[in-house]
Amino acid sequence: MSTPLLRIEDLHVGFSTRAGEVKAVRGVSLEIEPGATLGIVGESGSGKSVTAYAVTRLLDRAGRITGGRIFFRGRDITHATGGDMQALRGGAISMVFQNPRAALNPIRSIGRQVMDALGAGSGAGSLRDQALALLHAVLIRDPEQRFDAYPHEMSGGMCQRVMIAMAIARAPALLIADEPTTGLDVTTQKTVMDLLARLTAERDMALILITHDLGLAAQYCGQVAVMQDGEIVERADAVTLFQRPIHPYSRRLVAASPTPRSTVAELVGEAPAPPLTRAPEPAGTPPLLEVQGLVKRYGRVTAVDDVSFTLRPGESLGLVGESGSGKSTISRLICRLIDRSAGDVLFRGEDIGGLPARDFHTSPFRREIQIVFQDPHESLNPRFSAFDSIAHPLRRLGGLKEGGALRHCVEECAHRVGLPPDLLSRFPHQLSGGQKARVGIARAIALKPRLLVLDEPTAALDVSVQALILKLLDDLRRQEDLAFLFVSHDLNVVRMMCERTIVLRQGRIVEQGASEALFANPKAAYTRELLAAIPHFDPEAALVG
Amino acid sequence: MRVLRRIGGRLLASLPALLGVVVFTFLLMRVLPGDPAVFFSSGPNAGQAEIDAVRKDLGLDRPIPEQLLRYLYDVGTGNLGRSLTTGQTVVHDLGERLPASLELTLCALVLALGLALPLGILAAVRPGSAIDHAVRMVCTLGVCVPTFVSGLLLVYVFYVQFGIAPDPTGRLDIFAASPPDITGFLLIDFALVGDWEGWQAAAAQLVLPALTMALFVLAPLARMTRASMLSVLGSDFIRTARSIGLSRWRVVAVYGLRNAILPVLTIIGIVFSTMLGANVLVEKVFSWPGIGSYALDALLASDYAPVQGFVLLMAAVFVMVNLLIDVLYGIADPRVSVA
Repeated sequence: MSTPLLRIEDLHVGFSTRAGEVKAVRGVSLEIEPGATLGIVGESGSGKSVTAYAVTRLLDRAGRITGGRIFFRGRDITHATGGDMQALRGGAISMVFQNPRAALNPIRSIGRQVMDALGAGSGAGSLRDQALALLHAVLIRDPEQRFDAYPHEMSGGMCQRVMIAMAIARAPALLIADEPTTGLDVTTQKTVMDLLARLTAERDMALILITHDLGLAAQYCGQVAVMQDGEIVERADAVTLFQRPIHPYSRRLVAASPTPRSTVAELVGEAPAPPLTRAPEPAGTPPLLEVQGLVKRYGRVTAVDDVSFTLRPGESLGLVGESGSGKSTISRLICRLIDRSAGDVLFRGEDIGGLPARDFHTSPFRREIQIVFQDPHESLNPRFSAFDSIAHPLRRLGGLKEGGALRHCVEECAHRVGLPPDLLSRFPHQLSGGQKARVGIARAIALKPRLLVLDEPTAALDVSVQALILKLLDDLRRQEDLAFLFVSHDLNVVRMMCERTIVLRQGRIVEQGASEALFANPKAAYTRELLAAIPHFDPEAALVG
Repeated sequence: MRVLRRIGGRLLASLPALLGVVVFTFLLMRVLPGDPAVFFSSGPNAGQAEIDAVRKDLGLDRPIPEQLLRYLYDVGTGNLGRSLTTGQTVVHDLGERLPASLELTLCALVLALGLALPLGILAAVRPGSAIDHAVRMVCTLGVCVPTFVSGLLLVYVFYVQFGIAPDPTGRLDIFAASPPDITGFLLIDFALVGDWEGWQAAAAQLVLPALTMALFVLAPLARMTRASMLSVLGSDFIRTARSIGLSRWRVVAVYGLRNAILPVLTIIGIVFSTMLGANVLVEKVFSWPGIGSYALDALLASDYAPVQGFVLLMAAVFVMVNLLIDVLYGIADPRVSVA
């Protein structure tokens, strides 16, 4: 066996915090051969990024390697000097980071930054020409023109390509990509990942892909290591991991990752729930929600352009689309948090679109339409305990005063969302992401609304938590006959959660229909493109191939 | 061209503020106790008739709205009135003294930046180290010690004890020959005529007052540099710069400092304007013939015109400095346009 390119032996990394030392990585061992691809998958706090930063010694000031050894090409670099590491970085090991726009210097042109990456080593030849060639290689159109552009003038996907150009500038042997596509649209994610995979293969570079997305890792990496709480719990090739995960955590992770065929119940390892059957409505009942020709303009930009749809009581409707598709704007228009520019919003046949958003809180419909926001942390008042957050709508809209009735109502809501009563006195920073999401949902259902608008309710959550929250929402809908307007960029989630789906692009409806049919047999080219871009791993297909 | 038009627009937009300043100081001066007519009569024994004559002469017997209109008309035509203490027009007096103040303030600012930037950067590169604490102490001292105390201390040490500083009286030794009045800035004038001996003499006079002022504004500049540098050094693109193998020096200077300097630039504008107005104490200690001490003397003498002229001048300088800072900011940061 040849010497591995990188070998990590029993690595320990600690962070000194006010509460004492926190062990972020606890005995990680792994190795990667030259030219190989390795995915490191884990949820937040699993230590996957810290491991990478320990290798390149880019840890925060508070972080420290407390044990173990790191070999690069057989050389021990665990305690290499600053100068040695500087020579390795870029030249032998380079990185691509999450959030590309922040990872680039905002006041330096992208061409200069690529030249910086080139020039740190060689300094020979025409740097500008080499930089142009690199920008060309990462598929930036008109590199000559783009050379003097600044990061804020480019899209996130374009910035990530520049970042990749910088990372491969000096042909390193190992490229570590830390969540390179998190926060990017699904189609952008696909082009960026395809580019990354192609370039590393062409240039014979080893790739370590750090991600929370099991499907992404399985699709692009030969080997996948699963990390939990600073340890690698399982390591296998992608096919084996998907088909026969051994460790309980990997099993849970594999199950919780939405696939084109999974159901909500399967995510948490339960038998699928029976399909909902609803008593037919008496004829002439108006739909719960009817939207006609809805338009929203911000200055000269039209965010929502002539959107119409209806929602029956108890129905779940999904809105999917990439950033800028207007899906969040629609959800806010329907919640009457912002005012429309044109069009009608009818709730049970009554026009609510004309009421100013400013005064909607006085409308009796306010309690009928509630919203669950995207970021469970940011959407809770940090000075409110969980109890206060849930009690807030009950006090303001429900007219409940302090006392037993209020406490009873809040506790009942907490029970409905599976929030243990002893957590009610805690403040948001004392709750986990999943618990905060439950508080947000409890607050939204406290007044027993008929329509729940869910704006990317699980986008900020880890997959295993997402699975639990999706199951909770699905159960709530089944038990309480709630109607959902479910906004998401994740097509698999929408397919599982919604009976009907609307695909949006640049404020317009591209396609709509029953979810199963639409996903199985998309009509519009854009929908097909979106579906094809979802990172998915088909174990059967891989076995055949 | 578009930039020029925008700058013109900004200047126009500042006119209402300047007008407000003019009216406000005018009214303030009328409200403050003290009657110039009494003050400028021939002596303490002047009779009521003489006082009334002076008052009529000054136009102070007319109703206040009329006085204000006449004053506005005068300001509009570039006439800021006449100082009763010096007997010269205010425009002349200010024109003579402004270069002295500007020269002092600019030198002090350059000195302060020359000290504050390296100190702030050093403190940020090694937070919590001995250097960091030393810088913090120097800054605290600079803020805590009033300028007249630090100025006197410097005079005592360098003039009285060591005798290496010249007599702290004015911009130039009384026996030295003045340069021809070209710009009013002694250092520039001496350099223009090539009189390097005179230049040295003027510079020697300038060192102590400039240092006094520099110490006073060291704290905001150094602390801002440190804070801004710390936050920039913790940002993602610094990590990127390190990941592509740039040297530590390049990371700090090219990626860190250029970004960190942006908020410091804003502070420089504020600091400069404050210094120009607030250096009256330093001017007094070093007998510096600047606009600060001129305005203070006029205020104590109830001499309206110089005070009003001074306030207007300061407001105008403030507008110009802010504009200049904004333009510089626009050049330094491509995300911002000169709006």
